[in-house]
Amino acid sequence: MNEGESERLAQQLRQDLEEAEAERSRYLSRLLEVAAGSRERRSELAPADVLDSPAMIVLADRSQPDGERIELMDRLGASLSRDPRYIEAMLRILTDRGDSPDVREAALRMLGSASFQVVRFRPHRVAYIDALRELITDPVPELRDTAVGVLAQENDEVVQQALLNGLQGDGPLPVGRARAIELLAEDDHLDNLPWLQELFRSDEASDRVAAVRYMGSYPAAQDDLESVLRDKRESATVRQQSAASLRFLAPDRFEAVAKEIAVDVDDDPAVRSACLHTLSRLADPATVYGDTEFVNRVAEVGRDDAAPEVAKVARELVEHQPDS
Amino acid sequence: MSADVRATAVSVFGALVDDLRRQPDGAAQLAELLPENLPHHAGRSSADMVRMRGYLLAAFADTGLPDAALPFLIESLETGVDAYEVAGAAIGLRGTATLPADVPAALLRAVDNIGGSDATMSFESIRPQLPYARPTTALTELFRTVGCFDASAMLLPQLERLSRERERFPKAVLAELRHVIDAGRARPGNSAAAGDRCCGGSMPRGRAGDPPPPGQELRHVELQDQDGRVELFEHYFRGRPAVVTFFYTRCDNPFKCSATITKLAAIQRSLRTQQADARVTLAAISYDPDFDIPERLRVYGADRGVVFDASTRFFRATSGFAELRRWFDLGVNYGGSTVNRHQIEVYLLDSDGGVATSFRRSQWHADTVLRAIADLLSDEATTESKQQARHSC
Repeated sequence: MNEGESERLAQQLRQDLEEAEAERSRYLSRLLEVAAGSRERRSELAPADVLDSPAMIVLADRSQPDGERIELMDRLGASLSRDPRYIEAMLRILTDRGDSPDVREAALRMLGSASFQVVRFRPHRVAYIDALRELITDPVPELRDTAVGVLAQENDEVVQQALLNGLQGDGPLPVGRARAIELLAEDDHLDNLPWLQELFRSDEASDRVAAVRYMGSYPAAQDDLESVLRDKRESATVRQQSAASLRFLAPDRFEAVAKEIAVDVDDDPAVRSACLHTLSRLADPATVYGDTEFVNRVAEVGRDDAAPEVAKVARELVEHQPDS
Repeated sequence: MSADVRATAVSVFGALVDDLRRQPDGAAQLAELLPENLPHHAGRSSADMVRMRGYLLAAFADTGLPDAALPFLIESLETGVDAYEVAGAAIGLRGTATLPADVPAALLRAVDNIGGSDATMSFESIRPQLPYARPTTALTELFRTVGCFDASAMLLPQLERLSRERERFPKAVLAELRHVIDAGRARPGNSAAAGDRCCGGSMPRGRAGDPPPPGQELRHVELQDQDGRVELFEHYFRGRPAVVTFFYTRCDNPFKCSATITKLAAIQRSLRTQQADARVTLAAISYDPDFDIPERLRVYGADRGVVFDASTRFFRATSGFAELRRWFDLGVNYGGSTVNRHQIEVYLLDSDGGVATSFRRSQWHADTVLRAIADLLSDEATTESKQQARHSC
């Protein structure tokens, strides 16, 4: 960069800063006006010691337009966790079922972002988890869904128990049945295989994909996974995920089944291609290329014009044969 | 669905604990429920195990804490990652009249371990409903327990340091901490030479009754190593001393399996430095043989600094794991998918494959095991030279 370009860039940056500063001043003036309106109702909002800044006053005032309060939250953004009072205000909004759902969702979003600053957020973590637990029974489905998702990723026992109770019919399910099973499956130290088998019976292919994906944590699911992989009536996507899970659990067993599928001209080309590709790239070369009969049959597949995509991957497998 | 039975069984277990806590000999009976390998722990999820363990440990506050239970409480403080279990251990310690000398350090270690994963809980029943009547947190209970003993006087400098780290704790926990510090200052003669309720003796480590050298019991135990090679247990662990640890790659507790394997790697480095590595076998055997295929064993060890060679191998049992589990009396149990709970366990085997020493439940140090190896090598060398002398006579 030459001197002239540097100067132009510096000038541009100075101008950007000035504009940002002016914009900030305009916003603060507006915030002061809004807060002044709220101040008259201050005693209804929260204890006086909490409402010691215009931002706190506007955040706490449920009569303000949602957009005003959400914009303020967005502007507080990254600085949220620097002041514990803001976190506490967000937690109050989040658990206030009388407040606007949109504002509460914004508060949940803000708190979720702040929680990534693990060290700074630590003093608030217990209160945050408590608030999320309160949302498990919240009437707003979006809040419930987000809270249950966050808690499940933390392997929180309260949410796990709520999901289990719901699945067993001992209480309300905070989320849909399929999602409940998937969220429980986040913890592979729970005994989820029966639930995953139930999920696999869903009519939705995406549910069945999820079921066989999570079954990859359960050695006892090997028979199910092999059976899905072999099932020509099943969708290719579900079978491919089943192949991945079976390979994860039992590479030898996967390789044996994959060899059969790869050379079965009656099988789905997408599944055959996936099997050939995996055998070529990820399997034990001794198992694959040591089986001369299999390699010869793959070579035949490579010449099969009826399934050109499969033929292409078959030729690649033969070409990858290591020099022995 | 087994989940129905499981949920019921946890509440039944809670009722049993509540009953025993009122019995005159309840403490001893509660202690008998603790070992992981007992049948009532089989088939449960890890979450249920945490719930049962925490509730049981807390009951010792009411019954008094027997010596047999103390190592279990220390284990939960040293290695617990679930706030409920750690809180239960902290509460249970209040059942002892005098804290053993190494317990205050374990309490502080638990404060460090659990700080980022604390949660609101309650011990009013084994499955209390929200909102809790008597809510608490693990950190609150840890500090409360420190305050119950003269440990608060002994630990004043550490507690004051913690209280200055204001951004680390919620306000309520900080208030509890300040309260404990004030109480510690008020104790007569607050100093390291603390008074009646802190801290004497040492906690029991290891365990008597190690198994004899393997005979017929392990004849059928077949092991597969990280490269897929197969060995018979009775062949591999004969002819020279061996350090054998147990672990599993899906263990989600950083203070257990991951730490164990990392320390095994440290032992290997020390032995190599001393050029003693060829004289000692190092092995880690998986608790989860169906899942821990050779590739997983290899990656897990290598990621933690283990260098595999003829003397250092990781295994899974491809047959006979039940015999192996019985012979070592392994402190492990299983849920529907994998291990639901296990203790830390390291065994030093002699050249006949018998257990010379074991380090179980409490955290162990590589240096301690290295000293035990040196002692065993020395003992075996002495025995051998005596035998040679006898033969030559």
